[in-house]
Amino acid sequence: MNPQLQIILLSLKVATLTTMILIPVGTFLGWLLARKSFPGKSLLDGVVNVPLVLPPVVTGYFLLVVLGPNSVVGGVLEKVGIRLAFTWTGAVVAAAVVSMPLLVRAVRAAIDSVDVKLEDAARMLRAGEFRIFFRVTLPLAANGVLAGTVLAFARALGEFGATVVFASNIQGVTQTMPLAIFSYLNQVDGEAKARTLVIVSIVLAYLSILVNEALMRRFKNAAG
Amino acid sequence: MLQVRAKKCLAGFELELDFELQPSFTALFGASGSGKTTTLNLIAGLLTPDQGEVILDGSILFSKRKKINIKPRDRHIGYIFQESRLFPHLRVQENLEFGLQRLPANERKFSFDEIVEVAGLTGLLERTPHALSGGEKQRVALARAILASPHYLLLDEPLAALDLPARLAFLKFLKDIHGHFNLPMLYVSHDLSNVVSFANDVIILDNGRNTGYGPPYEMLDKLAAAPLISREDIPNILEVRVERHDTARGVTLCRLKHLELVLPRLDCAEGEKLLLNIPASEIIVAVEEPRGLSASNVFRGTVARISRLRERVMVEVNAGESFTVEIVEATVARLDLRPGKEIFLIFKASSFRRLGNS
Repeated sequence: MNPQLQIILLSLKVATLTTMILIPVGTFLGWLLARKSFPGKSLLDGVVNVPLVLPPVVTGYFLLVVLGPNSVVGGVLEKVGIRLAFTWTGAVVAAAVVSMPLLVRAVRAAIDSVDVKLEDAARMLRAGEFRIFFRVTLPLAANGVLAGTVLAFARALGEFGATVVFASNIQGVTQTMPLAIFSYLNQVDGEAKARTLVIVSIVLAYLSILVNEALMRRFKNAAG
Repeated sequence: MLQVRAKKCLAGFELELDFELQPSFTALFGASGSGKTTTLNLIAGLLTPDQGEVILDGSILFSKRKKINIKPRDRHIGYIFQESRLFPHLRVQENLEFGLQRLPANERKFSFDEIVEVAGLTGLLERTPHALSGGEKQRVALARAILASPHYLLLDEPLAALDLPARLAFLKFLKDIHGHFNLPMLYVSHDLSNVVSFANDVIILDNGRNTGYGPPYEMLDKLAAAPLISREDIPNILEVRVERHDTARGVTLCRLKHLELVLPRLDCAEGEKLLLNIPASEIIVAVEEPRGLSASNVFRGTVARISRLRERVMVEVNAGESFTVEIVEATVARLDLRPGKEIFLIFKASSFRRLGNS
């Protein structure tokens, strides 16, 4: 197979899996932060959001410390046959942690804009929390949640710093588009090879922003 | 019976309630900021009292002492809000079914088709809430609440956004629902004028305390001091059946129980049922049978009660149907009006306002 196509497919695989993990986790966290008060809420808020501003290399380093082969958690996972560091699943973990705040923030804003009075109305119609969430809150926040999902997907595709530290830059294993571009550009004649991947990156990023904007417009129209 | 004994401190406001309501159509009156909505929220469980208890038909919904706090969804209480709070992403049909879906079959008290029919929503089921008028929205909200089979219904000024004919038509519909399904209701309003002729009982809330409870016309005196009554007319809502059109005289004859009303020619079919309103101030009282009048509706009746509302005087008259007539104080003395006295009520044909079909 064309090595560049292989790189693109690996990137899409990592970003897609990342997004699939993020949708339930990020939506739950966004809802939790928007609707519930509990001890440790500001701590959770901080932990979820800090990768947004932390240098991704530092995030990757923390992942190595917490989940790496020499860590306690990493050791336990190793015993049950799961290895995250220096594998493509590690690239998923790195991308997920870095993209998470984008989704959580979008979900939180979307749920904040859903009138709690409608949830009270549902409560008086004998709906439980689960039903209220899936039949009232989520459908009304859906476009905002989707907009955040698209943004998180794009961020996962472009993830470099945390991935290179935690999953490493292994050709054919963890080398996604940004890592491959970085490697090509370090080669004497690599610029031409990098060009295709650069163009694909730009197109995907641009498309994501367009879709995100369209969804946000729909969300605002529906809310307004 | 609904028993409420509860305290609740909110920012800058303290509510202290102690009352027992009979299972009837009860109107809750109070000025803005007297704690009406808070009272409903405490009963519904959307707010938790700081102290006290809430008991509905013997089952404890809340008790601080016994550490009981039943979730709103398990209280079997329906709630109609000021704004209809229909789910904007669901069609009318889906809104109506919302409270019905998880309801065990043996707890369903009302049939979907029947409620839709009674609420006049048959043609609206496929619409989204955006495409409904204010009155339609509130009818959907009411039908939706009833379909969830509540044991008690709370209504928080649901008609504030509606114009007078829509409001009176909705109240009549509410009264029918109350009678038809024997569903007790607590109806919050800041204006007595519309509801006084509908409610069985009135409870008064003043600055976070309940200060009176009883039949509407007994409560009027208590209310005289409170700024609760607008200058709006007290309505008499009549459900009449169209008997026949008399083209030669240019009138339509309608029947209200044993009374025959003569109205200006109406655009409706014979046999049709109509809702009419005649404002209390447009009825004339006479102590002798009048002759040579232009007005064509004269009915014999007996004074049932005279109540005062600041400078306004309301006379309740039983003429087969109960009517409320508004007069001025001087008239009471001049005509020597007192309970039990036989009088005549005179209606001008043009005083009747048509509210819609019932």
